Amino acid sequence: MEARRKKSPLPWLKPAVLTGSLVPIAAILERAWRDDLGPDPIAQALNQLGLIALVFLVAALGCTPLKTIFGWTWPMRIRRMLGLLAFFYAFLHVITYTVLDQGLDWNAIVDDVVKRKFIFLGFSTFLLLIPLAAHRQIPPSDASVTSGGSSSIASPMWHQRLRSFISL
Amino acid sequence: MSDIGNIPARSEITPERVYLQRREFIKNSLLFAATSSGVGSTLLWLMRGLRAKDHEKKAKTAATRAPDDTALTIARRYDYASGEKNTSYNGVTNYNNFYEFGTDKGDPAANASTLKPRPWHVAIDGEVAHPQVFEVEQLVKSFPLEERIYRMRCVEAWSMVIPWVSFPLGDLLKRVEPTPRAKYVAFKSLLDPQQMPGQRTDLLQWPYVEGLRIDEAMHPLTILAVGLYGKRLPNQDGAPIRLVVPWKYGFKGIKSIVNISLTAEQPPTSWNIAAPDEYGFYANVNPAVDHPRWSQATERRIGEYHRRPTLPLNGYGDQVASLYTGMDLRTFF
Repeated sequence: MEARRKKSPLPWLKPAVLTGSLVPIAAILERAWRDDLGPDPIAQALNQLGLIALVFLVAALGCTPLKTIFGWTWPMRIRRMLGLLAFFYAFLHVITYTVLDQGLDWNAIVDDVVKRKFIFLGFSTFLLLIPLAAHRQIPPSDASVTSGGSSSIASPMWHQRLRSFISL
Repeated sequence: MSDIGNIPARSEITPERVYLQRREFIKNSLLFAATSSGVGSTLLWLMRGLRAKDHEKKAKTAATRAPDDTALTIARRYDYASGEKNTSYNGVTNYNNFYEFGTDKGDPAANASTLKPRPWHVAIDGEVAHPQVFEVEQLVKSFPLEERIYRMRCVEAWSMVIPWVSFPLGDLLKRVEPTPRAKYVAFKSLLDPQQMPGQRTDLLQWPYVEGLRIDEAMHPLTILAVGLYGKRLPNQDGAPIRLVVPWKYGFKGIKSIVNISLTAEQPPTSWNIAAPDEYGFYANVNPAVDHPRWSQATERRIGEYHRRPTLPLNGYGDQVASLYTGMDLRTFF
């Protein structure tokens, strides 16, 4: 009778965070469908996707400090998922820029990436996220952070890109 | 066998494990619902900062337009946009840069109802034989109004096609007779933080100021607009009177003008004061000279999907290129 199966604690956490995290993309698609993204819908979608990607990146990077400082362990359960969500939104952000905004005009894109610091930084951040996502290790293991892993500086990069985009 | 009555068969008793699971299931469901909606609405709230508060804005926009929707009598119509499709009235009046009412594109439409465009006086002074103060209604009645369809290219790499109702600036300047010392024309917007709440910030030096060389100001394409789409200018588009110089970036088109002064020296201009390496005095549309933070080679026409190439002098080179012969437009950007 006492032998209640020891289930994983907080079984609702991951599905709940995932469901909530898909609300922004649903909202953007729904607004695009209703033509409600304003007179410059591509810029609007671009900025919103970038912002959400940044939010998830910061959230993923914040999990370890939360554990260290407050001893909370639940963020660690969703850390990998937050990282993958950051990559998901960053990917949509990049696709919106390359396909919708620039129309796959690679000359213009290369020109942009080389000439504009904020696009260069955002682009490098995205490139850095790719191998991390491929290994499903965003943010990387503590070891790689302490060994000076590149993602420890990713956050200010994203921040700068986003700020620049907004100022645009 | 005890006689305590109807004891259910052992098999009918819900096992404690299942009983606990059911409570757990309900608890987990509630926590799931709360967490997912919490995460979802937080993210939507964060996005909202970037998104024009559309619904409030639509309501207020109607109020902004309400004061005077009277049609203007148009004497002549000219299409200077080679038949390109006009940007919708909705686009022209809800996507504005007018920092006196906020920095978001939707802010002017939402906030400009505090501006009182009537009555409105414009003083013309400086190097002129007859300095004068004009009431805008007087100007509207004394000049034959023309509809001019112009391309408008913003320095932020978006563009519109707008049917302005206007008269040439040169016709007004001729009335006050510029003296031979007049080499430039300086323009000033209203300074009144009560009417223009954005002036309580120090994003720019207030009031907004702009300037043209006298030959640019006298050019027949340079107009003072009092309306668009056949109606009075909505407040967010610079009511009641604004400058339009179609071959220059949009920020040269100073809005809600109260003073025009002819000067011997080149006047200061707002964006040039704020960021001299990004915005020059001339600000001619030039796809070959990038803004430090973005390319000017292409633009997105509001309402369109694909970018289109930006034309030198915004496509008005045939008419205005002669103003700049011998000048290096990279230096004088």
